[in-house]
Amino acid sequence: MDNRIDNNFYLTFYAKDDLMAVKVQTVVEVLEQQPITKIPKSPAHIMGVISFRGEIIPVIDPRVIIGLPSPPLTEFIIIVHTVKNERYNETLTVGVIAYSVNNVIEIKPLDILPATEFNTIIPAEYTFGVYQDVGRFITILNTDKILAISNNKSHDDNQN
Amino acid sequence: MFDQFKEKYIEEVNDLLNDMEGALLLLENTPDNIDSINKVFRVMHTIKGTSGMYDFKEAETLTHKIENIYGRIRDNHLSVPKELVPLTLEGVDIIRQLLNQPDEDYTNTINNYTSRLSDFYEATPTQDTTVESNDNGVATYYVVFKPEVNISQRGVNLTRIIEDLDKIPGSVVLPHVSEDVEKYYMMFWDAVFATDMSLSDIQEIFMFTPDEVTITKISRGDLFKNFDFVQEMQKRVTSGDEFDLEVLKSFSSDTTGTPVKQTATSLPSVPSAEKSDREEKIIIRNIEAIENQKNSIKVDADKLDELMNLVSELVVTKSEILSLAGKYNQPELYNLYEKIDKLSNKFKDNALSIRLIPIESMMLRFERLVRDLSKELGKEIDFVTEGTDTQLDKTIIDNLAVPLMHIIRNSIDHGIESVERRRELKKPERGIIKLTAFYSGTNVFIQVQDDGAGMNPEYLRKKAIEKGFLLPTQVVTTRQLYDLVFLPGFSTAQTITGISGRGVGMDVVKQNIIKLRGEIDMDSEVNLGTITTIKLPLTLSIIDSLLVSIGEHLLLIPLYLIDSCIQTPINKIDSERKLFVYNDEPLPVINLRLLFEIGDQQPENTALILVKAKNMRICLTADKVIGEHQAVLKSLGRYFAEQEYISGASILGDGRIALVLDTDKLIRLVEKNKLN
Repeated sequence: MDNRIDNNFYLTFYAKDDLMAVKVQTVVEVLEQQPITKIPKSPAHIMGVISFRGEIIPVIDPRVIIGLPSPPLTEFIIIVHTVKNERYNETLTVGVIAYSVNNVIEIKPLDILPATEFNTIIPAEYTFGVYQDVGRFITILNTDKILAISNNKSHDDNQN
Repeated sequence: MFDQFKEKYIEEVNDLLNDMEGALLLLENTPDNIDSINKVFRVMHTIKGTSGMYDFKEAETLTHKIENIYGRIRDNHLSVPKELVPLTLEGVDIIRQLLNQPDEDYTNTINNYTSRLSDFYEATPTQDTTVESNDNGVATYYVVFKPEVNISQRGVNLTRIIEDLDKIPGSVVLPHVSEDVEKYYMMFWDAVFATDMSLSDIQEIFMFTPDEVTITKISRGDLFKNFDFVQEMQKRVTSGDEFDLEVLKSFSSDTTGTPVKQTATSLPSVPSAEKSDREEKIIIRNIEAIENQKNSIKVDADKLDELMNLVSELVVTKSEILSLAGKYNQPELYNLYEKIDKLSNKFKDNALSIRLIPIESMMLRFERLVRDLSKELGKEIDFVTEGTDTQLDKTIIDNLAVPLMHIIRNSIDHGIESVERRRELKKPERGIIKLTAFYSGTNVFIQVQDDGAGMNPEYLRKKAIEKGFLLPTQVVTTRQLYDLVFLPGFSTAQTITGISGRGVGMDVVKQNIIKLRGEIDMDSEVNLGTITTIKLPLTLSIIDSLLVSIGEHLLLIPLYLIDSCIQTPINKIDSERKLFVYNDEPLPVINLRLLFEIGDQQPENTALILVKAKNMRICLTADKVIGEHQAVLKSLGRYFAEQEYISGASILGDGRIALVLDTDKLIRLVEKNKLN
């Protein structure tokens, strides 16, 4: 399928105070608040799992990976989108915790800046970069990488 | 687009070839089985046609030659010569290669093969010894075509059929008036002609009316060369009467004029009494295969997966109705809910059963393997099966064929001894490899047993020490020695053959079985044989389980593993040594709350779930036992792969998610604790 025209559109949303973005193309659905099943002994940034269209998908809170305490989840939404895992050549569905959807904006590839500790709270390796909108920064999340962060052992070991 | 069709074509041809292989193996035992001969002929004919369409020229030539041979055999009522079966099987393999690796150069193989086919064709007699003429395959036929009363409503073009009959050179076609006009069309026809057309060509004329025609071969020669016969014909034409079959036949010197009804849908003949059990079994299996074929359709496995997903979504939606009914206190809504509940349960069971297929579907491959390999190695082996109607999830079957192949190959290669050796040992010359499948609880067991040499524990031990798997001083049980076979790099073959013994094999087999949530083990007795047992779950997607809760967490434990549940104050458990005394027996306890680091307060009373393990029982703690649940098992995905003690999750009726405990891992944990 040729989606080149839409390729540069991003859904931006608030993860608390910070603006984050994922490609519109990958977004499957934005879900209302719903119970998340916690998985014992799982990495802190993985909030748990939800059932989505008959499948069980992980839900992550991007803010937790940098050690910010997960704020009490009073009101939130879950942005369900797909990520491509290059290594295993498969598409995964994942939910990202957000507080509200902001907007859909166009970001041209050339306008994406490298992530630094000055323009985003998320470590560079878990982003595709940062976009500078009028006076504010929007972090473009690499959810595949975020999912791969593991508690103690490296993700690669998990295959064996 | 074209590629897509081509893919379908290749798939179809592969299926046809599988069918044909079955027919060929049958022919090996019953060389005169006309249905199998027809089947081979038909398959070759079909492949020839489609191969031409897709430009597989080699396949086209090859199938054409084979078709000719079988055509000749069939038309002359011959039985299939012994050498023809291996020759045809070779052809099946070549066609498979042609389709699956089309880029390689097969010119030599094919030229060699087709020339052998041609030789064979030439050597096949065209007539029985009692032939009356050399009419080059011309035979005289008598055809009665008696259409049903509603023939024209069925859209059958009668004129066309009669015209086709008329077109056969020299044919005499006569119309007659039907007597029973309530049942039959007002007219019926009969015809006599001599032609070199094959029976199937004639049958093709009547392809839409196979039940309304009787085709009888009255002579294997051209009766029109017989003056008396021609005179008789003329007499009938003038009188307009029906031909009398008996009279017609009297002109023929051979007496084989039996009606050859359309054979396309008829079943293989019932085996005669003197045939051995084994042949009978094969025949029955083939009958079943044919019957199954008639009533089945092919469905993409992805569609079935999707169906399963939809079903589980339906179950979730169903429970939303229930909560709505409670909210508004509407009795009608409850009734509706109950109806939907019943329906969706049936729907679920049905969807699950669709995925189950009998292991029968793999057997042909194994039969072929045993046949080919035993010939190659000069061994005499019978392959016997039992319980092949046992059903398993398709995914399991798909992943089971390769490991089973390997095990059977091992039995043929290393297990069964040569004929001479068996004679020395006073064993029957023919070895037996037996595959047995049966249900036990929610598991399926598959056993491969041979009556061969067995494994020598002393030899295994020596080998293990040599390869550094064992220390010379180490004391191990025989069973532990057998388990060594599953280690990577451990091969016991004394000489490496092309077939097995390279030391990759049993470990891969074991890996494959574990992936299917199965278990495998071996037992053996020197000179009596080896038995390999595989234990598999019935399906990968559903588990009957017990739902328990710990704090806010919901956990599922497979029901078949549960011995009993008891309620006990927490202080009765020896938390120091992790033991609980039940009926005077101290049982190891795993506190799931601690194991999963669930932080909240432990209630004073706890439920203990007694789980049966290989040779012990262990207790698992839980706050509450909620009830039974038929869990549609879902994977948690790779991101929870370090969840050692959880094998998956299931969506409950109310949309909540429960985690499925991996009891095997828990048991291993206990074993490990014991050792420390």
